[in-house]
Amino acid sequence: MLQFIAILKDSFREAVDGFVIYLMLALSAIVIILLGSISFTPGSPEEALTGNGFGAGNVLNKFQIIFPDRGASTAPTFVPNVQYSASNIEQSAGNSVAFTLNVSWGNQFARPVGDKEKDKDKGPPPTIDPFRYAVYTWLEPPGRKIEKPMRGRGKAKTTELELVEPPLATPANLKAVTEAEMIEFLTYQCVAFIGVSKSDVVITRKPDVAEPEYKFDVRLKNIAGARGWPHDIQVFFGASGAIRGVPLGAALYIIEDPIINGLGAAVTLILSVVITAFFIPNMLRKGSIDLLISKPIGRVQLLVYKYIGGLTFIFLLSSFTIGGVWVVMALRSGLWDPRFLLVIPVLTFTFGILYAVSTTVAVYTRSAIAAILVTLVFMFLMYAIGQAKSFFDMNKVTNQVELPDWSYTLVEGLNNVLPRYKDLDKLTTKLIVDSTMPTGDARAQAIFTEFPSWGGAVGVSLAFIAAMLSLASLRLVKRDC
Amino acid sequence: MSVIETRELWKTYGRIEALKGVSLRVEKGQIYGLLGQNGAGKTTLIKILLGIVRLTDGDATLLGHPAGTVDVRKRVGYLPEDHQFPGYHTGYSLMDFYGSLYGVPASVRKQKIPETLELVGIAGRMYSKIKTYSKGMKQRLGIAQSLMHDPEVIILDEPTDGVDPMGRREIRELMSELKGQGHTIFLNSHLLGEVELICDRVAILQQGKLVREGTIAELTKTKGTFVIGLLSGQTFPSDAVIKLGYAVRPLPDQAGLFEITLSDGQTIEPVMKLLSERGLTVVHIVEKKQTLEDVFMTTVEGAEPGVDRKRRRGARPVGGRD
Ligand SMILES: Nc1ncnc2c1ncn2[C@@H]1O[C@H](COP(=O)(O)OP(=O)(O)OP(=O)(O)O)[C@@H](O)[C@H]1O
Ligand SMILES: [Mg+2]
Repeated sequence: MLQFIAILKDSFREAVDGFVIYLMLALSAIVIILLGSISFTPGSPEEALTGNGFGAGNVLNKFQIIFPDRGASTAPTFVPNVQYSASNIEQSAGNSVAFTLNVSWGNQFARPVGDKEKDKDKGPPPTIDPFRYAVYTWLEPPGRKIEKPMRGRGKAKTTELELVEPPLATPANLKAVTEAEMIEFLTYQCVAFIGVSKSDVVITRKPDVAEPEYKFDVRLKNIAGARGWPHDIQVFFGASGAIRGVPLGAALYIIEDPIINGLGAAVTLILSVVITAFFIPNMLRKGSIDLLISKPIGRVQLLVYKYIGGLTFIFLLSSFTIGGVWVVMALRSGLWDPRFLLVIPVLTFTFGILYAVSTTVAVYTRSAIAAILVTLVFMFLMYAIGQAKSFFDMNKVTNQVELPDWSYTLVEGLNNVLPRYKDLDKLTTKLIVDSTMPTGDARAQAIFTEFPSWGGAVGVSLAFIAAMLSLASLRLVKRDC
Repeated sequence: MSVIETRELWKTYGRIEALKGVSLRVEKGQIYGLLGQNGAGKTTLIKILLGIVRLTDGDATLLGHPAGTVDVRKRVGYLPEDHQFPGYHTGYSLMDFYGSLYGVPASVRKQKIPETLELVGIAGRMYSKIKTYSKGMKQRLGIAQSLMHDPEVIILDEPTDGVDPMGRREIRELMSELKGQGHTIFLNSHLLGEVELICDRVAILQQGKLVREGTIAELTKTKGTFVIGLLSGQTFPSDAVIKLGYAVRPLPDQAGLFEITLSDGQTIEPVMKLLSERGLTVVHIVEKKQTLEDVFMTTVEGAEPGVDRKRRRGARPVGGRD
């Protein structure tokens, strides 16, 4: 243990010795300050609830997505022919909004409903009450998952979507839906799609409206910072023009996932591969290695400790960057969800896969250049296989491209044995989606994506790392230094 | 139990035979010097003892354990030749790092590190990065790191390489002191004068073979060469002495002095007797003694000792008459 800590400390020293890490930390700091300059101003209730004025559309349209079993089912279903619209919108006492929620019926394709357009799309009254059916769907357990035939996996195979069939209902079932259940349903939808908390929603039904139309008085508190509420975004402490009407969660997601966890992570990984590639060859240099292996420590132990020590570099860097981004985004948005911080260990682990390759090449060649080249090629291959896997997974469902059976087998085979680089990325993406978007949006994102398991992604990658390090140890143990 | 023992030790690197059956034995409390030309196999032997390279054949033990055993290295300090310390350490932090690898507890390290660095004379610079050290400072640091965990055996590969004369003397004194404390020291060196001053025993390796081994006294003892000078005007009876079976040679640069070399079993007495019988007066008689350097040179050159070489040091008068 003492030896392990000693080598970690040594690696830490090595990592902070060059100017490169300071340069990278400085770059990170600039990114953090830049992100910290972003301000989020809640959009006006008028615009948010009618969808007039910006592209994000009307947040009420999402109410057509229903999670059965009172929201316990993560797989949703749709009841599209109910239309939700707002009128008498009043912004009261700063952060609250009050409006009348009008529930009526419409055709299959819901559109943003202005009062004038409403009648045009409405069509004749349906034979069953669509809103009561929506509430009933929410109350009942989920139906079967919807299946799609899959290509390339044998003729008869199908895949399940994270989407369920709506339930069967009798007129008696619908009649039994109570007013309290309607209010409960609407409250749930506000929480799931607007992202306010349950205690901030007050709904009462307006009397004297003939079914199948309904009107509710809705009062929402704390809409600033609600994840699904459209916000205006400005950079440079309000000096820039505003991007209007982006749901707060979506904005955070874009910053945290494609920008930081995507682009930022890729740059960090590549730079770290380059810098850390020198650590092992330096240790193995004539004159250095004697000093270490003459100490009472086994060679395998030395290599493994040194390998883990090499991870300190990226751990420091990502802790600083991710931690900093998290703090400024939380300060700016008021959302303190810590799940984004899990990107730190995942990124470090992802780098661990690359560093295992680098270490092994370094032990065999003693050359940092060889280690860098091989690792970058490997990184690219992993990326390509990951992209191919995503495409094939998608194609299984959508059948956009006709592909032979063996190509599916090849891609899946490769993905099975090689470290789950892309899988880890998908998993962190999901983590970030879950931590930024309101629950309803987050679940809806997952409908068409097949999510790998953490166990599988980490397990196969760990096995790969172990195999690489064994290969390196084999060489190091045999070698005369 | 010997501290270091090798039996018929062979090492080949591919086609290069670095050691060809070396057997030696180092006892506790000795300072043992291993000499040999460049490439003779000295470093190879040390590396085998520490498990840095694997032996090809034969047997090597360190403190009774097979060479290369991890645990026994706790009890050994080692200064490699041509060492490269990681430049990102300071002298102090390097000692701290190595100390931890040796399992020295933090509190002991804290006390021991400045002490040891003081001992080798670089305590003043212990918080500077090693990349700013001079060659000799690095060498001193190297010695310090081999001592800090109070090892039973200290193995030094050219310990005074790059160290200035004052420093070399300090290191010699340090070694004597360590020996006094019961440590065993095994060293490689090319500085024969130093080896002669401090080593109890030396071995000479030549092309992977052990060609001489023994105490300094044993090795430097002459095979018997005397220089005799007679009263001026008297003639040295060379022919008569040669008849007695001695090799006689006038010293070219010192007129009147003759060098008489004894073969095995001979003594100088018959020559003295002959000279006095002839009424000659011996005014100068000196038994020549070799330095370790002489021994080394003659050994590695395969030449006979006592050939024509200037000698100042080590010439020891054994008597003189009028
Ligand atoms: N790693 C190696 N690979 C191949 N040959 C080696 C290796 N190390 C040493 N040798 C060879 O083994 C022989 C002995 O080398 P060694 O380093 O033991 O010599 P040395 O006596 O320490 O010499 P020096 O006085 O120059 O330090 C040399 O011929 C050398 O070329
Ligand atoms: Mg050597």
